Amino acid sequence: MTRHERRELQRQQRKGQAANQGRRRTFSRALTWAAVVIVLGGAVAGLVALANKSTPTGAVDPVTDQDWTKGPKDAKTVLIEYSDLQCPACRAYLPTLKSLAEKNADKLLVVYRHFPLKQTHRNAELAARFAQAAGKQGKFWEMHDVLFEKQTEWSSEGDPKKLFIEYAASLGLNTDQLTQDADSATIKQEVEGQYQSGLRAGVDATPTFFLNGTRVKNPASPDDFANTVNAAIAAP
Amino acid sequence: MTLPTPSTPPSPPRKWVLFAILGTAFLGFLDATYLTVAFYQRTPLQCGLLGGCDVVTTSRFATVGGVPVALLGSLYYLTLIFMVVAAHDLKRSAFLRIAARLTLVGFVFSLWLTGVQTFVLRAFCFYCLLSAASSTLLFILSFFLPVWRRGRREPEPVV
Repeated sequence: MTRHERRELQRQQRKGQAANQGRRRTFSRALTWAAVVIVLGGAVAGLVALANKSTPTGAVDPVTDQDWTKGPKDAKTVLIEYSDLQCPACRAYLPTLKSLAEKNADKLLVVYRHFPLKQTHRNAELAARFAQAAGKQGKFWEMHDVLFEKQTEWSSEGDPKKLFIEYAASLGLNTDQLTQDADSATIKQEVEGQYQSGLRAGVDATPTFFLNGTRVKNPASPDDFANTVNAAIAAP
Repeated sequence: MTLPTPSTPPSPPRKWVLFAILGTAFLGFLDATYLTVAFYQRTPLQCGLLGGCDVVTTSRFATVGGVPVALLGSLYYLTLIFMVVAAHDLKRSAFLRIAARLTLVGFVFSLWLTGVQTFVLRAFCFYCLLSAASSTLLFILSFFLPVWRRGRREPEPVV
């Protein structure tokens, strides 16, 4: 091998080494980024799965003794309403619900659960607590009716407590006890518990109705809704 | 606040700082992403420690122009992670400088959000406080990066 050839060979080798190194470096860079993407992607997938586990199953909690009900406990048709006392749409359903309950007093169980939309209705939660507290004195439905009927009067009130107490007095409730109960941790928990059960059931608007455990999909009007309920009652 | 005295020429950032930033940002990313996913899926938060999660995450402060703050947080932590990895990969300190400035933004935003929880909503959510803590830690860690102390006029070091 001549000197020239030897030099040429060395140059070739060095070139090869450099290329090798370059390849190795590219590989390690790709590995780094792949690891980052895999770890982050895996984390996101894991979190989505975790959230899915506690995502609304759509299944509504069964009726218990804690619930406010109208009608026979063993009725074949059960209508559960998640509602907000400050929501105008809920108010619009009041006459329909009342007449449904009256006409089918022996066949339909109507259940009311609180779902105060605290974000948009600032007095809704307090109203729910007052209704709940009235229930302690055996007049939940009476308070529920008054609050819906006078909704426009107290909705935009800065301090609606006074009005609530007025309504309660007209129903013959013990207002001192009522005010105390409405502020109690028990009542707060009861309202929150119903709200949470609504979230679990996938409630995202009020009113949301569950007819025999199945969510009633956006009824066009209260009349349309009444037809759906009547059909369920009439079904064999 | 006194910054660490500059060493000349600017040394490359210590490894532990980069790993600490990566780890903290990853934790923040998990936290914020959980909140983001919960926001879009309307999942009730698993909120045992302090309660009040729903009050905070459904308040009017939880979104900025329709975009949930949690999503902004996720993107913030994600960007930080990418900046640190890019700085390591491309050996460019510019990425670290961007990262350091971002931590300042994140810190100020966290202060505001914690203030809102304390004084306006009077309710705390564990996940939001966790994110505030990680943003604060990231801001502190950024002082260990050799990027704050360089004046603008000084020439870029040749790495």
